[in-house]
Amino acid sequence: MAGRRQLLQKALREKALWRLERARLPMAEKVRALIRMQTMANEIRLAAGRPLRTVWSE
Amino acid sequence: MGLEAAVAVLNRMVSDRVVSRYAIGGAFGAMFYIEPIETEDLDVYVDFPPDQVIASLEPIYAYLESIGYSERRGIWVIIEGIPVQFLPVAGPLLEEAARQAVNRPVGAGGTPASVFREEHLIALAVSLARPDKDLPRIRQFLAGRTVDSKRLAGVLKRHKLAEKYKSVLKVLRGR
Repeated sequence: MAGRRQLLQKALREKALWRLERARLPMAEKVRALIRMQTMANEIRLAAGRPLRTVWSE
Repeated sequence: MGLEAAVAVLNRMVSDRVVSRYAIGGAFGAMFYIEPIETEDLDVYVDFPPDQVIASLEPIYAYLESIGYSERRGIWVIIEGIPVQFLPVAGPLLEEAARQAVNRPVGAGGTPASVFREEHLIALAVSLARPDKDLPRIRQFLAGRTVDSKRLAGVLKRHKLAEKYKSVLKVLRGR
């Protein structure tokens, strides 16, 4: 059980580091990431038959 | 079309004196400091000269229409393909946040966008403290380790949010 907890803590630490790196990306990269998120969310909406939302452009 | 062109329109609104200043807030404002988060619209807070009585945001919409941005969709005006919601600067916290907003470049051309400071975005999130939106965002701001803690303490104290901030921190630590 202790091993699993350590693994989980390591994974969470890695995730926190990844978030920190993403926070430090240049704004242009963040906008591209946002557009990717909006596109993916729209694909899910399309599949679910829900109304699509606007996807930004740079 | 796109974000940079939309920001250029916002800047033009200031130079044409439609508004005295603007500042980007909301999720996109936060993105200047934290990891990218999904949002549909651009929250733009607008301020007017103190002697101007503001009964509605119609003058903004009329101006935008006069320069070719007549598309409205619900609460948004579509500027260069970006849904923009205009919100008036109202109350001491927003007034201070707008006054102290900083310019940050966007797009390939580096067009300056006026954006709320991180410490004001945190204070605004504390004032709302919505469990689903604001609390996770406050956590992200603090994890970024770029917050000026002295400035934040000053903002929270001035706007009587220090105690609420302590409660928010307790909730965040308890999770």
